[in-house]
Amino acid sequence: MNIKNGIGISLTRKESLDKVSGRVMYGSDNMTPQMLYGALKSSPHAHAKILKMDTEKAEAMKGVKAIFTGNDYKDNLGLYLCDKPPVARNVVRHYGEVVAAVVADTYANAKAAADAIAVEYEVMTPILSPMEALSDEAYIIHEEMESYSHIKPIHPEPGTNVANRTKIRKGNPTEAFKSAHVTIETFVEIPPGDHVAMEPRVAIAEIKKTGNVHILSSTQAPFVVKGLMHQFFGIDPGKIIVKAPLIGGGFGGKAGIQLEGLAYLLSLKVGGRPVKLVNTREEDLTGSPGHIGLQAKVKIAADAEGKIMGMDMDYYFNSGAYADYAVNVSRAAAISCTGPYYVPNIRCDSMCIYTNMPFATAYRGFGHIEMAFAIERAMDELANALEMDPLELRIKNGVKPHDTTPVQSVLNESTGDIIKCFEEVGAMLGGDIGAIEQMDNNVVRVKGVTGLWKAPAMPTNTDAGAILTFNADGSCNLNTGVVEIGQGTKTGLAQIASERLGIPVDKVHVVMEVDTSISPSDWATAASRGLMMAGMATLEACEDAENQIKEIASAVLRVPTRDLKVAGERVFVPDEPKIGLNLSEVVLGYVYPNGNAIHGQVIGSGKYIAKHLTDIDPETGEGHPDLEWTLGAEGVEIEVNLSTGKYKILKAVCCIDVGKVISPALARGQIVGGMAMGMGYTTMEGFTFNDRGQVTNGVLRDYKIMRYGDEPEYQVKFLETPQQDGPYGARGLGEQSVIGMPGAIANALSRAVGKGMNQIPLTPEKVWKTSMEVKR
Amino acid sequence: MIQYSGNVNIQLNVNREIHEVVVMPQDTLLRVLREKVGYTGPKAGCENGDCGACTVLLDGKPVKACLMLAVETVGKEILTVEGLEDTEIQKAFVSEGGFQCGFCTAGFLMNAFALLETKPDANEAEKKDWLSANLCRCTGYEGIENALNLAQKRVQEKKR
Amino acid sequence: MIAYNLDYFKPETTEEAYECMKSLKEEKVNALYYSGGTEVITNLRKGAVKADAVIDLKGIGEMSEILVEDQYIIVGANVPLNAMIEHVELGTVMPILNKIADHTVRNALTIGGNICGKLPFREAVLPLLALNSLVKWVDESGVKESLLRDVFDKRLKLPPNAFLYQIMIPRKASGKMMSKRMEAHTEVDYPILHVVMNISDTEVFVGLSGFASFPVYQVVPRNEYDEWSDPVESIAAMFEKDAKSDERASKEYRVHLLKNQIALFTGGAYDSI
Repeated sequence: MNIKNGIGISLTRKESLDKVSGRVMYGSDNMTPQMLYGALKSSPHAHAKILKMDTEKAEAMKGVKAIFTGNDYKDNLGLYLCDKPPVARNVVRHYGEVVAAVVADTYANAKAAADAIAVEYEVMTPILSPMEALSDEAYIIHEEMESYSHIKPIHPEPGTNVANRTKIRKGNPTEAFKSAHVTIETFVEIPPGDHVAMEPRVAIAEIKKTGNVHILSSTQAPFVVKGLMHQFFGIDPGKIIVKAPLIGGGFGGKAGIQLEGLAYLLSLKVGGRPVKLVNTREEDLTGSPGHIGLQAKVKIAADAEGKIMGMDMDYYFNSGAYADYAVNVSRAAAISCTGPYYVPNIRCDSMCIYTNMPFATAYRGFGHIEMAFAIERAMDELANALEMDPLELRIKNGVKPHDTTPVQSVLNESTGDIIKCFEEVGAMLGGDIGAIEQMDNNVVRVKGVTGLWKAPAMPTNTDAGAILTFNADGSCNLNTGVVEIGQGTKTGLAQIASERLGIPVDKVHVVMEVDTSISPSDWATAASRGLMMAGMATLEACEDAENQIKEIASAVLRVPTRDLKVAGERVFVPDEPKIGLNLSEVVLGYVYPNGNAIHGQVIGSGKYIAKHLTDIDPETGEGHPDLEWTLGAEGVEIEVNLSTGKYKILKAVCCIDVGKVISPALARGQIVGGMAMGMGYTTMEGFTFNDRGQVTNGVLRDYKIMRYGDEPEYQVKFLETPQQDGPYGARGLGEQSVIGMPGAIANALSRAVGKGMNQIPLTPEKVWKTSMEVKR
Repeated sequence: MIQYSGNVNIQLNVNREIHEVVVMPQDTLLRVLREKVGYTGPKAGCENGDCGACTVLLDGKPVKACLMLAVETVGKEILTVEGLEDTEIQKAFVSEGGFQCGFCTAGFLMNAFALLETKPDANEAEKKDWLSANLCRCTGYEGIENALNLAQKRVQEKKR
Repeated sequence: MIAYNLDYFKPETTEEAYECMKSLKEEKVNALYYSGGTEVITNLRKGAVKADAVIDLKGIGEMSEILVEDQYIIVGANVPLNAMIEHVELGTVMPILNKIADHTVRNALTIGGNICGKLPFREAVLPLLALNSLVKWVDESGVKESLLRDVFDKRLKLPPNAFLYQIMIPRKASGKMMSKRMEAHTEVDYPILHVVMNISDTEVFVGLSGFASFPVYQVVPRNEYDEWSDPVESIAAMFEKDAKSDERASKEYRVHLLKNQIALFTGGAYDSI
């Protein structure tokens, strides 16, 4: 085993040199002379009837090939719940919703024609919060919900605005609240917002004369796109070829299906010619889906020692106008609704609710960042009520192996050590979490801590695969269906293969792009399961290849396969290392001196499918949907100027149990990146709306995300409690660090001002205002 | 008086080579570089001057190519990421994790390269002033900051 | 990305530029003067502004120069903000200009463009007003000169077809210039309050950007100011009516920040509670 090339060390990414020289081809970099271009027209209204659409002028304009409106396609599309026409039909349900698309010879011509389409609207009153959408007076945003098809694990309630309700019932919460020493209740709010991946979404579609449909797309989920194109349009699966080049950031926003369906319909309208559809940043923010919003009520009952006896929760997730991934986001939040604490008695209703706001899809954390904000604010309220140190309260209640989760599955020994995570975070922050350090008259320093947990939310049959082929020099090519979105999984998988086969990692070549006609199936690059699942598939492919290598060598060397070992780019007899062959002599079939050849090339294949997963019971939530749990704790130290509300996060810390660190640098990059995203989410992000439901910050000039210099000092620690069924003990880590930041920041600021800061974003103005209210 | 209307033939000096291209006066430098000259390193992240992914150097100074007309740049030297060759900042971005998805990278590199060329001794405030013109969504800026500091050290060492 | 045809003119003299605009207007061509382009291109892309032609003033040499003379530093309207910030003689205006937009944009964004733009901020005007600068503009009869304060009311008020030519900043500006720019959160953003205060022997200047829907300023004779018992409240009272609420900040917060900052500038008392 060549330690230098295997796991546990930091390597530069496989695609590094191309990325720093502008040589990577992202989706929008693909341009061919025969390509046509699509441009979109968006609604300026949040809720309106489309009375009339006049396309006559636009049709006559230079270069225009086709115009697509709501009447051009009669069915709905939808990931889990078929509720969305490809462009608005008769009614507009959110600001920024696409109402028409134009195809022309250049993008400028298409855009000019889109601008020239005249739309007459009857503007109606929008619903602008999930709780408002549940009121008796609220109108029904999807009146035809009854007729929408949907997957079994979600539970829409036709005749209401509830697109999904997931119920968790465990123990006897009523009794727990009756006999509690202390109970607290918290209400929190988070607005919908956006992922702001730096690359706006793009899809290029072409229908060849063979009937083959070629789609090149900035997708995290090429196989999901393939499956849905089959489902929506009845195209033979074998004729759908989806290519995912390198992606300019996804964060969940490019999972599911995005522009691909519309690009296909546009191509269909122009005789199958290639049509390129690229979102402008504004369209990417409000026309395509963003992250979900939340209103939530959390009640906790505890005994005098601070042991949690029960929780009672209502999560009102703000799906926006369409369900997309949001129905499963609300379900995922239900499955882990208590945060990483053992709670014997639970009642939770997690609802996904339609509003007239931009719709939501998956977002890093998948419901957990929102849920955790509610829970962690409530935990600090509980600590206040008990006059207990906030860290001590969390340590007292943190989950341990053999505890049951909200869905009553049992945590096994593979569960990480959250108690240790809490202790490490406390130590990194210098302890005394509840302290308020007065710097001068108006300036204080405060700290906040949170716990986090997450299991992947995915279909029970989620799979991955790996194919290993070889080259004449004994090097290999690793082909998986994992999309490289910046997370570095391709490099991590190469490290796993390198470790397993003893081939230097430089000689493990990875196929960067995913092509559904060539790559083995892989559910999606989402849910932080890529490294674990594709890693297991890669290990199996390595084992398969190794067996073949041994088989060939066994014949040539005349030793049984069990006496052979593959390492150091050789296959040899360990007792007599001189007896062996170089891999380069074997991997394309062995050729004897007289020219006879045997076996042929080595092709290793491996696969993985999640085992023993079940859906949850619709009435109680009981089940086993959780493959593996990643646990961690986070904290911040903040300096606040109470006279202006301005604050600076000085330090952000995270301790997370990842089972095994495959690449320290890549792992740290994921953790730090997630923390930054969580900080932006908490402090400055989220859409702002006027009372007509129009987004007033739907452009990057106004939708602020963190910039260089806003970042604090980051401290990251990894624990390695092995995942027994993970590759070398590793488990997912891509999303988790975003989860704890809102709670940590809010808990610190709440301490500074002396009142709960429960409404994201926690702007300086809100800090000042709350602080003033308290002082008055 | 220079006057352009409709399709015009202009010469652009990009990455030390003269490119003859047909453009319209309203075409932005970004679109012309990507679609006419063929350098797709500069990216369209917002086309509104907010994200910096399209940053190129114009006579050695970073500018946002989406906020500039191509016809304005005739007679000037344009440098895109494709014109950077094995610079310290590129090497440091690789070794220090200055990127993940890579979409913002060209813009950051051009900006940071120009900073180290014009102000090799830039202090923290200057670094922030310059680099806060670009957005990155993946790294949390830690890797970028480390890369800039390392490249600065190497550039300073070379000058000595 | 601009989806509409645009004609481009690049005159080399002020006369040529003015005549170009005049004749285009006579032909009913909707033309704009163009300098750095950062705001014009954004507006044309979004359709917030429609134009058939732009007249790029960057061909006029002296408009891109900074000249230091006895009495004045003369700054051409096409000088990018970064060139001003980096100029050794312009230290007083530097801390005010160096927060506008971002560093990269400031390589293109010009002083003239910032002052004459359509955005409500026009922050670069604040130090120029504070220092009682002069401006030169070009109209029918050639180059005209005036005190900036005489032609700036919410925006620069020039005759039709005229354009800003140069700005003359007094070299021996008296007084103590203080400034503070505040944003809703991250610094690369429009200000929710950019306050510039200059206290000289003869007058006190207070100018604000981001506070109202346009830049606002007041000049108070020094002796009058010295008699104020509560300068914080007195100054706030002059501006309060103009304060705006928008998605970045409420009126109440803006007024609070103004009072808080004036108190810090003047050493005056302001109890925020």
